[in-house]
Amino acid sequence: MEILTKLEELILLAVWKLKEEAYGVSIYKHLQKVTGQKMSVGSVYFPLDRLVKKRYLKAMKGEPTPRRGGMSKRYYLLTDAGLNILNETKKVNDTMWDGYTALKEKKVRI
Amino acid sequence: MRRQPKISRNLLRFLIDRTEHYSLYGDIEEMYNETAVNNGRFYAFIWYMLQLIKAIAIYMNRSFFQGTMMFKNYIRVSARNLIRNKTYSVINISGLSVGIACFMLIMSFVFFEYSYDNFHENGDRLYRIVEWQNTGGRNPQHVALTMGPLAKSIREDFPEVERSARIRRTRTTVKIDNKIFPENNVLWASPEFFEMFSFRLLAGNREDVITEPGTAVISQNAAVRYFGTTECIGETFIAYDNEEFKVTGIVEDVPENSHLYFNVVLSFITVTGRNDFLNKNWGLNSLYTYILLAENTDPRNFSAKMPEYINSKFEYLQKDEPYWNYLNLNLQPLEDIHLKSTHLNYDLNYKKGNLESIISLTGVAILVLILACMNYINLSTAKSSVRVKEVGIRKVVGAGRGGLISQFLGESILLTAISVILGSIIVYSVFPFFREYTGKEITIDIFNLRSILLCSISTLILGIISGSYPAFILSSFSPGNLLKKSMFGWRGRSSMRKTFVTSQFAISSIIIAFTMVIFSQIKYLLETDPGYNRDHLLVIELNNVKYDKMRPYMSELRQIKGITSISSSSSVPGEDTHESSMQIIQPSGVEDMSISLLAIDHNFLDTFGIEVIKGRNFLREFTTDTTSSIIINESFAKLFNWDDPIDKVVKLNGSDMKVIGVIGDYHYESLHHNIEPLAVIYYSPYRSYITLKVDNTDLSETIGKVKEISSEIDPDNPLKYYFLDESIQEQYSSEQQLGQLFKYFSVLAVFIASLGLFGLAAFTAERRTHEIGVRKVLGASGIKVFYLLSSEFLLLIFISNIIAVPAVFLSAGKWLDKFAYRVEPDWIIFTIPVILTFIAAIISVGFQSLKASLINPSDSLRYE
Repeated sequence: MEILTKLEELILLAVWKLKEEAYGVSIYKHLQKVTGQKMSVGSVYFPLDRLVKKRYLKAMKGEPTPRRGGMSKRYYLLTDAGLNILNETKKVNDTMWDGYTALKEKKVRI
Repeated sequence: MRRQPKISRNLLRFLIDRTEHYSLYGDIEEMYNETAVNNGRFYAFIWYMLQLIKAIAIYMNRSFFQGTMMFKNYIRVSARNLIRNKTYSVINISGLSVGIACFMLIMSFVFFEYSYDNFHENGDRLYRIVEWQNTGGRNPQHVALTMGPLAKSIREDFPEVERSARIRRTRTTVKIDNKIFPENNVLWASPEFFEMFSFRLLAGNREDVITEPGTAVISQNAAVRYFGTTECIGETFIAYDNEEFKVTGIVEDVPENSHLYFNVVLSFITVTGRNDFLNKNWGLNSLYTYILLAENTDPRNFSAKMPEYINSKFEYLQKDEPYWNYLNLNLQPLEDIHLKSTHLNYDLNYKKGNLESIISLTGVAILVLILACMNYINLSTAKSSVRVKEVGIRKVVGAGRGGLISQFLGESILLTAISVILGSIIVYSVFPFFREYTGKEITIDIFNLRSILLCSISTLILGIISGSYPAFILSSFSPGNLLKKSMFGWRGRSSMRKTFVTSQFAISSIIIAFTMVIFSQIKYLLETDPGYNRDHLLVIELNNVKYDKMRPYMSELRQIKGITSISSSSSVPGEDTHESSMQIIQPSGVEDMSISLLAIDHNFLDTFGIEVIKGRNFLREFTTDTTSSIIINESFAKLFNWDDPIDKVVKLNGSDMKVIGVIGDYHYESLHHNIEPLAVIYYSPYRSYITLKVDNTDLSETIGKVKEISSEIDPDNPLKYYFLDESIQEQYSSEQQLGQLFKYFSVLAVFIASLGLFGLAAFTAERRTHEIGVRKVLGASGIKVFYLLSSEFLLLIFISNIIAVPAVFLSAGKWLDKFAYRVEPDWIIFTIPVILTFIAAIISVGFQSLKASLINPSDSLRYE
């Protein structure tokens, strides 16, 4: 199994969550909302490209709208491979996070 | 609805050049739009710019590595190509580097010519006043000389004139103690001279170096020669009419690119202070006037005031017409003086240039360069069929068209860079000869920033020009076609190559034919019967001392054994002839004209072998001959339609002169000019040349004796003498120089064109090895094969010559129009370029064809 980068993982999840509405801007906004981080537009597109290349995502051309200066949207869909990798990542993550409680840990003093 | 800024969108498009990112523009547009609506346009703009900067960073990161990788590959492939095709590389590089070297040399000369007088601080406001004269007899003429009082009065009368100076050139001998220095470059100059012109003074004040009579400024070089040091302020020397001059300033040696050249400047006041003649006399043009216009003065407006001004000055001569119909003044900008003075007579212009020849030189240099570029284009398109496979593979592997274009351009730029470097080496090594040839102190500095920049820019341009055709053609084919084993790369483009070969040889033929025309004209100029005998004539120029002792001097010269005839005159052929106004009494009234006037003695016509057609020569028996007789030439008689001119009366300076003879027209000027009417009088005060006819038994002894006698008569000044036939040849030195230059050019052009043809022939022979093998097996003879390979090229040469002939006829005719007496270009002139180009072509094609025709078919067919 391939280990995804955190950004790739987040993007895949965002695409899954946004369903048919997953395209550049919405993914970018979603990520910004969830993480609360300001990020550059470009930083979303390269992972997206990579994911398409790895066939976890499929890109589809949408209808052009005037709001976008007459240029069409590029929608992303989760492929089966994408779903698989998400499941496996979830499994790994769960295992890794198992037993962790979001309490204040005692600081270990040396 | 807000749109993102257009420029930044394009920038983005450039940075993110992948087609699948087309939607990205849309996304960004959408976000920009939203930000603009929510937070205002300014905020959106800032946001947008930030995104852009980030995108650049990503772009750089991604593309740079890849770019260098490909670049390395390109360089490697280009180098391999150069090495693999040694013949073509050598042909290309040698042709190009010779072309570039030639171009660089000529451009250095052209730039030098344009740099004349550019070092004066107020150069853009400095003008020389030149004069236009219309005196009736001749065509109106332009002269550089102006009137003595002009400088002073024009400055007083016009507030626009800030400063003015007058200059006169002279020759003198400088005497210091017992040493004598003959000095040819001496100027008389009025006080403001050094304030107007920025010649650098090493000692002395600009304002007052030559304000006093008897003061002088000398050049560094002269100072060292006279006094052995440049610390010589206050020293004195004797010059001009035994006058004492005190050195008040030292000037740095005059730069080579100055139209004024001098070693000594004497203060004009020395002469004008005590003699009012030059300050008052408006009728005599004897010196040069320069003015400095005030800032923001339009020279055209100023020139427009000149006719009125002239009219007011010559009011006393006014007839029915305004005087400006006879005389006018024009302003000549300082920077035009060197190149644009060819129309001026009596010019003061050190090593005068000629704009026309500069332009034609530049044109020919560019032509030679184009020839070399054509070679490259020709050979590389020819080779393209070989490289078709490489291009196909590259395309299949995924090279874009842009990448291929940049590869081919890079290759040609590499090749030109090598040629530029080689060319510079050639320039460097032949430069001393070139400098000697041009006779100018041109300096060349390849290693300064400007030349390096210029070289690299021209390398780029040349590389792109010569590489663009193959680059765009080759990259345009589809990979499918490229990989099919077809020969269409060669066949399909051969018409263009043919055109190139034809035009290359056409250009070569034109240059050769033009060279022939120039040389035949020179031959014509030198061999045309001038109407007098110019051989064995020794001309002595008289200075004041010799002039004063002319009588005893001549009678002593007459004693010398080797001298058969001796005469004195105001001018000799080739020297300027003075003009004088005459009144001719005609049935219709009195005609006032200005006509060339020559003063001679009894022996002149015999010495020069000039034929008397009607009437008689001046004779000693007729005492009236010295005062009231005149001889005219045929043109004179023709001008006034005199069938029998003898005893007609001409008024000269108020006295009646009776025509006693008519002489045949002879060329007293160079053959550039028509023979104009000439009047000959017997008047001794004007004479300033002595001409000796020598027999050539013992020339050196005769000259030795002449020198001996001259130094007895005038011990202080060296004898100035020359042989007339040599000075006549010198009249045509600019034509000779042009001819020489064209000779070199024609060799170059033929060389470059032949190189290209050689390469092409080699290529064809190589491509057709197989075919030749088959032909030979089937029974073709070696001669047949030879014919097969050469005939096509020879046909092209034939066509190019057909194109060249009318072109030469037109351009040569235009050049020849400069001469009043010219050859008509005949057919022999055109057969020589035809023969020469054919020989060059046969040598370059024949070698390859011969090689191909001699190959044993078993060798050529083994290739499969």
